[in-house]
Amino acid sequence: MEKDPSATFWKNRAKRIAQRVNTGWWLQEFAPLAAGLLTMAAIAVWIARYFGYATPAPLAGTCIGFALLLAAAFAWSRARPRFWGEAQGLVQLENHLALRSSLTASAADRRAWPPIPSSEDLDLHAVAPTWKPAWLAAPLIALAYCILAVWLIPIATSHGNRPLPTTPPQAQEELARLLDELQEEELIEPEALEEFAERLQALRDQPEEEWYSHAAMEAADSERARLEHALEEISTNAEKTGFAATALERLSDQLTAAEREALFSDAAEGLKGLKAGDLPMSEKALGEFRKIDPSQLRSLTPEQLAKMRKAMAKTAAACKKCQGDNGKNGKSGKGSGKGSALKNWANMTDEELLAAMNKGGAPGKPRSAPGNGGIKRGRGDAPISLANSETDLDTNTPEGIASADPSAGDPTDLLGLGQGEHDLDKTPRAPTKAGAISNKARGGATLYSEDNFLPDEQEVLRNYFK
Amino acid sequence: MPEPLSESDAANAASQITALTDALNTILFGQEELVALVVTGILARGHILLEGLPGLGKTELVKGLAKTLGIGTKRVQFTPDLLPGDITGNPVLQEVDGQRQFIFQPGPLFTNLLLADEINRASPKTQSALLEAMQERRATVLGETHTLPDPFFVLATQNPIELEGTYPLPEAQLDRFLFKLQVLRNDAATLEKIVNGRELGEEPQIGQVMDADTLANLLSTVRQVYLPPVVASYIARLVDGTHPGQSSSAGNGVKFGASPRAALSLAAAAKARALAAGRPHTSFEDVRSIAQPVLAHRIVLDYTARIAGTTTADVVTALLAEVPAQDAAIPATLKDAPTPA
Repeated sequence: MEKDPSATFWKNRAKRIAQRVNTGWWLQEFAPLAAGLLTMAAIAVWIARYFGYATPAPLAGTCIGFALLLAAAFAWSRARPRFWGEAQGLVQLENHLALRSSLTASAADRRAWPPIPSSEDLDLHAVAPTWKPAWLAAPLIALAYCILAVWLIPIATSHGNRPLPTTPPQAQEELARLLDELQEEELIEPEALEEFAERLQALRDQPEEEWYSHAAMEAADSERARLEHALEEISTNAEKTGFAATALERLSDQLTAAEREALFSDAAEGLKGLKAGDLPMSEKALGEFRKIDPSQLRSLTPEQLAKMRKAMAKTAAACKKCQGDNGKNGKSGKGSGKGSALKNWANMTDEELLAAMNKGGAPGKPRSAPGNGGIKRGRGDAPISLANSETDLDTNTPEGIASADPSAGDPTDLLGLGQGEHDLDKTPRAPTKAGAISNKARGGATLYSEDNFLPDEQEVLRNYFK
Repeated sequence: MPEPLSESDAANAASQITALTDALNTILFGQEELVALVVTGILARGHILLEGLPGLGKTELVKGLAKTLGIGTKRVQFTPDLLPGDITGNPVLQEVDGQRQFIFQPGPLFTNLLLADEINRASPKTQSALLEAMQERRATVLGETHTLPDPFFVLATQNPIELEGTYPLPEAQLDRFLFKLQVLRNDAATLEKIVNGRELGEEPQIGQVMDADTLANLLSTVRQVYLPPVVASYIARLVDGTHPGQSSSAGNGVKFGASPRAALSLAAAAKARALAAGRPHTSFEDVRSIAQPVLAHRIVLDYTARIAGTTTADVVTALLAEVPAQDAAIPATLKDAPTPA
């Protein structure tokens, strides 16, 4: 059966209108869903980026696309009951073309299809509903926003956009180097070093973001300072003992009894310091002197003194090696000022040694006071006097005060003296009649006056005369 | 189900209807729309209530209609002392074959076209005698039911002034009128035409346009006119919208909306309108064109609306603007194309 071209024409136009309307219904359901989904996706990816999670574009795009597909299907199922069919399209056409239900009747085989109008007579855009651009643009704008805001616009991360610290703080590094060198020199008892190593490891076991916290930095600095202080102490005591041993060994014939006693005392003091220091020295470093009582040094033979000199020299050298970077990195030169003139005491000639003794250049002597050192003397703090001297406020000297402003003066201040008397009106007056009333009463007004009664009395009178 | 109406049959019917309308327009000058509506009402088998001031040609129109249609017609002048029996007829005691029997003497009701002049002057009791006749096209007297001739139309007139001693038609009877038409005054040009073409006291001469058979054919043809489902849906939504709460137009002031009989009347009148236009199918425009005379007298306003000056015609006008042609809505994403005026 040959199809009527008019029927095909009108039905096609009706279907196109219906399709547009159905798309509009679907879009009405889909646009809010899409905008919401894209917004949520943008927020999710933004959060992921903020916390540093990797958000690969293909994966995120696939997930968002899948979610949009689901939303599209859901929107279609919701919009479907309101979809237009061909019949509604025909009605739309005949209403807007003033065809008076001809198309509907033709579709029901009640009359012939109206003739096909010329292209000038039928403008489909004039009879079909037209799009509202805002609805079309809304999902696209949301998509563009999603892409721009999520992937392209740089955002601050929760780490402030800074890379995580991968190297430990310098104090920890230096502490570790010190421990390694001390272990290598075998200067300190391993148990004592292990305690430092454990504390250092505890600091390193913290999360990396905690390495540079105030507490961790302060702890590492404190451990390093403690170790360096102990090393300094060992170095000083070793030098003092070594110098005394050297002098006793090489200048035994030239020394007076007092000088010998002083040197023995220095040696005993240094040895005592080495034994009772903060860090216990190893057996290898102290050798046989570990078991010698400092008070018994006078009984040492010259050979033993020579051994002591060598041992002390070795210990001092080891300390210097471990303290190799002292004075660098902006630190103060520790110990350099103390007996710096004796740093080569092991290689001094007898004359030099004697001269050093005479100048008081032994370690710990007043010559090592601030200002007497070399170029590495350190900052040289002045000693603080701890004498019980009171602050002299000079309160015994009387001092006069003057106040230019009498209003700010003390009530007891004497501002001035002068002769004066009361100013009395001495004008003679005749006797006057008492008890006269100049203002006669008018109503209750004259019975009281605001000035003559107490407030409570005034209130009573007012109430009475109300 | 009636046979589908062909376009040629519709065109033939339209030419006959046009002839009838043209003839009536020679009787009543300047009332073309009124005449068209009266003819539409007749074709829809409806009863018509004409309301207008005296002398506007209401009675002449009905009389002319009776002449052109060639059907039986009777006129009853309704007065306060008119009794139901005066309209329906009474049983009269007669002697038949030597026995006395009550023989029913049909009243003026038994005709094709009844002109009920000034119907609101009769008592409610007498007005009620027309209820059964208008709806069921029969009359029951003393328990005996008599079928009225077919076709049967009531064309009533009433005067909106001189309301003393009148009885407003009850809602039930108003609902039985297909149309309530306002007969408006003529303009000066029409009056001049009347003055030139007529003589006082002389009835206009008019010939018969169609016979009873032709009218019967036309009446059956009207029923063959196709009522598309979308138009039927429009009628239903329109009538439903007259009820309070069903539309914003009826939201304020409407006490009672139109009845289902109003929907049937709208459909029948729309078919007649379409046939008069030569179409074998009705359209939304047909419904809109007869909505006012069909619905306005079936809507009851409340007191406040009447005091505020709202009329039922205002409600119907607002309703026509509010109810869309088809139930299928346009989505918010689209803007509907402008509807031609």
